[in-house]
Amino acid sequence: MKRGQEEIVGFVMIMLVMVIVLLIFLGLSFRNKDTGTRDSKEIYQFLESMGEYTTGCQIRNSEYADLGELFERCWSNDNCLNDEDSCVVLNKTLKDIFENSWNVGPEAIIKGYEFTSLYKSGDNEEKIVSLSFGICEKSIIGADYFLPAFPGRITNTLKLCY
Amino acid sequence: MTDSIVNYSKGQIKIQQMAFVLVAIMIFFAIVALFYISVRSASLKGDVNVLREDEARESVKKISGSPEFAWSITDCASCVDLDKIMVLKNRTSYQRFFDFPFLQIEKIYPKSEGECTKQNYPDCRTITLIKENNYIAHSAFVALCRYDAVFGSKCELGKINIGFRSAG
Repeated sequence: MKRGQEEIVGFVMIMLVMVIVLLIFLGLSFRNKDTGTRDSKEIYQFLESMGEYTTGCQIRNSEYADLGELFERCWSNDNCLNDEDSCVVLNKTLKDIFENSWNVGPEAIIKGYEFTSLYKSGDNEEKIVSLSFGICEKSIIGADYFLPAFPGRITNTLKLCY
Repeated sequence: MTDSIVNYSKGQIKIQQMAFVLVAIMIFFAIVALFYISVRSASLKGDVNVLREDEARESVKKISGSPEFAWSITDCASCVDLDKIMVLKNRTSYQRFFDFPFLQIEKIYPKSEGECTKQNYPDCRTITLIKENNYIAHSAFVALCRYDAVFGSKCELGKINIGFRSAG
């Protein structure tokens, strides 16, 4: 092998080592980047606390349903004692709560939200309520909150889009 | 005046070449290390925020479970007793009870305005229990429950805002 060839081989080897090291660092840097929907404890806590909110739907003589109970009442078409439609109360309360709790809009950090409430029992799945606002394209964080509803369960899912 | 002419041997030139390559490699590794450290330090700041938020949530759980805050009428982990908190606001003996530089309860829904006093309670937005300087605030959602003449037990949606002393 000529001296020039030897130098080229050496140069190529050094370049290879550099490229390998660079690839390892890039791999380490981007390994933990989040993709898809991330779980949020804040949203879980919001869904949990929201379920305790006392609504205007009267269910007994001097007792009013909390929001968590209204999901089951709406699903089973049980109306309130004070002649209010449980689904109407549920939809209105949810919309008001979302409007007051999260600053959502094209100029805000949160660009949009999606909320769904599903009843599930075995293979049977039924949508109770679905609300959305704004644009959901990029980074999404969310959480699920479960409520018992014999013989199945209700899953409330909220996704916030950034 | 004398001109100095230096004649390098082949071996010396080879050693010089190798030295240059070694210096170039060292510079390259230094740049890569700097890049890596800057990326890591940026993500560390994010990690600190996440840990602070987790700490805030854990503190909220601890506080809402304490007898001074707990809503004991129903079995509810995320509920606090707003009437008790309002009483605590005016108790000077509780000023040093909670080890936070800032502690505030805020009503989110239904919407209302102003700091709570004996005159406007419960139609108010915030109850500030502790307010010192130099803190970083984090919040967590809770249900604010109280007795109501019409509803009996009434829960509303709120937040506990907790301040943590900044690391400096």
